[in-house]
Amino acid sequence: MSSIELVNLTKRFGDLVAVNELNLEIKDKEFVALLGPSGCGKTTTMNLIAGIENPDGGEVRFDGKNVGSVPLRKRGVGFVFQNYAIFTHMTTYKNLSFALEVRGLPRDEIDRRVHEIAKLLDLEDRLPVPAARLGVNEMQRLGIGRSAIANPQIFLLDEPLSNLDAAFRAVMRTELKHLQHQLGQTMVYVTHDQLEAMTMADRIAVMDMGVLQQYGTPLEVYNRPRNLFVARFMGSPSMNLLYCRLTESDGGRALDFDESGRVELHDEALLKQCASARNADLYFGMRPEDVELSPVTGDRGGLAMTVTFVEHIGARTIVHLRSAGHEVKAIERNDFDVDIGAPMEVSPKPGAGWLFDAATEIALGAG
Amino acid sequence: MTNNRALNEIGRYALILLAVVIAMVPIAWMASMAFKPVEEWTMSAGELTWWPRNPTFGNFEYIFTGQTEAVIISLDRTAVGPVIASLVTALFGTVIAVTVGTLGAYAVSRFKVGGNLPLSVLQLRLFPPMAVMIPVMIMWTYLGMIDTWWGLSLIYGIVTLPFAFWLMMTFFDEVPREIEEAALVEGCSPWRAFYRVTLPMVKAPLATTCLFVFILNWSDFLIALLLTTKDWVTIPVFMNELFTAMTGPMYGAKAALGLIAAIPPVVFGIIIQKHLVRGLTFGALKQ
Amino acid sequence: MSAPATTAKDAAGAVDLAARGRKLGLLMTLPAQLLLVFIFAFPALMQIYISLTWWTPGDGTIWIYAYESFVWFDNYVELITSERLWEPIGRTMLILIVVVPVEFVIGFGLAVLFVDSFPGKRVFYSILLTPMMVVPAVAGYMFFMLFQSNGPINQILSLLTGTDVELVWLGDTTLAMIAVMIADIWQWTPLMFLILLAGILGVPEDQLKAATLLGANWGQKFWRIVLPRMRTVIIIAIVIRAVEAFKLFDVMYVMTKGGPGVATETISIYIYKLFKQLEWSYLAAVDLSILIALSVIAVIGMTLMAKAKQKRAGDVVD
Repeated sequence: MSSIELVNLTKRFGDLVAVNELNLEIKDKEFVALLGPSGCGKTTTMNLIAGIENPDGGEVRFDGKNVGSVPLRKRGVGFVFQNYAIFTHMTTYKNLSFALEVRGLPRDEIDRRVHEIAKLLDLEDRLPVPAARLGVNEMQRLGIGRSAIANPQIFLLDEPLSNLDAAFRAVMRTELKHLQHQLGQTMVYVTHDQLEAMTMADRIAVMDMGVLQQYGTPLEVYNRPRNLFVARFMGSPSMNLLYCRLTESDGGRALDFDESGRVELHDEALLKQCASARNADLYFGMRPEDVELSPVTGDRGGLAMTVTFVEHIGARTIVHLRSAGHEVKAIERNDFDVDIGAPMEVSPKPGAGWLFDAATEIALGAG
Repeated sequence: MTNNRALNEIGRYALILLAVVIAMVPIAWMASMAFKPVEEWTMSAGELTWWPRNPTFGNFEYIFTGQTEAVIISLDRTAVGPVIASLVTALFGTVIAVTVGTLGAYAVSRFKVGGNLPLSVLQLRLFPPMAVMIPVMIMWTYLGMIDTWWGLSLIYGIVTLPFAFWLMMTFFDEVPREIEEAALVEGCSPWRAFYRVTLPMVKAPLATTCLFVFILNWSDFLIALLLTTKDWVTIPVFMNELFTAMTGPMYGAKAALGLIAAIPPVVFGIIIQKHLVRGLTFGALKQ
Repeated sequence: MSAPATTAKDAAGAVDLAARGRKLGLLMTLPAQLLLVFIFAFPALMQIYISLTWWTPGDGTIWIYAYESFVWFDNYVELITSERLWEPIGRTMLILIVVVPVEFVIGFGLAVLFVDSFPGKRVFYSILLTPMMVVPAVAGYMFFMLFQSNGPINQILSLLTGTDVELVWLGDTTLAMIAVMIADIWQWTPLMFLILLAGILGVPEDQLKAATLLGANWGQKFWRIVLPRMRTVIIIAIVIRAVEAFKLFDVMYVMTKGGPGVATETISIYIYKLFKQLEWSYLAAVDLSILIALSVIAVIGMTLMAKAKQKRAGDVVD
């Protein structure tokens, strides 16, 4: 059993608050990604969990017990550094056996386990090779194996795939996930790549400036972002955010986009959100793939915009549109084509759309 | 946990302070002796003091002017000459070593010539100076260079050439070749590229090398002992001779001389601290 | 497309600095090469020549006429068989064997203390480097004064032991050796300290962190990570110090002049005495033997330094 709980965790470096009263719980055997831009505090948080740094406030708990007083070498967590930090003066074998040798296990037991894990990680034929001569891919597996051999229940990885090329990264993503299931560990994974987090994590903790922005499953974070930061950070291209005003219209509510037009609100989810609106200034968010483009007719109830740029990127087409005061990107099929300067009507697909309070930047209804 | 850490810190400071004391004791003793008047040079009153009871500049006066009160015997020559000798020969020796070394190092670094230089130059440093001194003495006598400033400077330049060469070579290796290549594309000749582009870039390393080599030349004893007789005796040799020329040990006077001799290298050494490792290991290690 | 070759270009079309500068390079290395020939060729030839004779300036003739007293290899035979040379060598080796390990251990200890930062580190660092920068002849004199029978060392010892210590350091054969060793240790431990500290700091910090996370304690980290990665540095430190020790002259000469008697007569002092006694042909033979022995060390040293450079380039330590 190895759940992790971070309670009011705080860490300062001089005047800078790297981690600010962080509260997070990670379930046993869960794969959680700490996601955010550089400097958001994700690596510091992981260092606090591992014990590399000591908190200035709050607690780190494993299975409910505060581990603050447990020294680094006794915490029993596996840690993979961004640059792997493997022992380049030793062979692959010695790297793997290190954790066990240091504990004084008998030679044949060590040998057995080294071969076991080498087989698991497909490193068996590289065992006698000096670790410095391994390829990047192999080094990464070695970095994992070195920690895994001690059977830690908690595994921490600091952007382990950022040194690999894109093609490899995709392969390693699935391998890592597979490994986690096999070894049955709780995994905490730091990354700045939202795609990585989306594909691998059970839950994603989005952080910015030391503060937790949102914590939820990938789909939750993607479809129902809690604030503008998360909305912008997830997805590529990111969510379109259009400034508007909530008004009355005959029989219901509408969003006024000034010169761009006005959209009647019929969707139940959106109307529910409006109920908790505290003022009229809002941001309307819709994902590029949820944007519908049609020639201007006026009866779809959308916005009037003009095409400024069209990107054909193979699998799809990204259309850039603009009107006075608003910009939108829309994703269409790859055979979609339209002239620059053409007027189009822009409207959200049924069921799409998400509202934010313009002042607090928090999604309506999310508190 | 914190108790352990505090104990470690105290232990660390204790050991370091011990080392500092040991490092300073000989220097402190000599410094204190340099300021002691004649009476306090030996344990006359049965008491050895670390702090002079009557601190005086008398010793310095003595070595530079040849006389001072309470010392009956006056010097037949003052320390002024040796100080100048040390300065001049160390300076010119440095100029020679650094010039020849820099030019050679640059050529080896950039132009793939003189491949034998690194190793041969290194060998210069390995052999006990005594091993080459006889032929050198004979040559120098032949060429009339004994007891001359140019004779001494030349041998100093040769003997410290390895350091200048290796230091500058490692420094040049760190400057990317693209810089000169860009200059060449612009139409510079290789010499101009070196002189107007690279050289200004290595001003600091060059200064470091000069100071380093100067320290070595200034600190020399054996070579000056052999190659000078009277006019161009350097400070260390003069200091040594003071003993044999006078009756009884001249502790205070020699201590004063020693202090003067010791200051420049120590000061320069501290200035170039960061590069000492590089210089002493011929570029194999860096700090 | 390509202009007439005003610049030498290699296959890729980039400017070839080495080709362009070839003539200049030869010119620039000329002074160094000349000096080398000057200082190597002539002395070597001359010494080979005289070493085969029985010449001394006392003969009254110039060295060129040394052939008049050709004795072929007698000098070398005497060198090897008589004790005259082996004693100074033995003493030098004795000093080496004591001094180098002591300096190594103390230097390493100090280096370890200086790995982390702490207030005043830079100041202490500078102070601890000072002994190395003191002019050796002056250092020799410092210790000459310290080891006087009515000097501070005896004074301190008296204080510590509560008795009256009046050791005649520089007049006793064993004590003089010890005094000379202490002087050397004082002067050159900072060198070890400096080099070893650089070596320790060269150990990648995150490998140490990784080791801690894997459960290693301080001792295990030291033996399994720090020390193995410092192998080349350690060898360099020891070789440099050992070679320098061979050349010891200044401190010894000023402190004891090789005395009392010949108790502290190292190789360099022995050679100096031969010189003063005008036994120049025998001396030439000695010189050449030393030259050959040290050339071997030079080769070893060069390989090591090349390896250190290689290591910095690509991290394969063996």
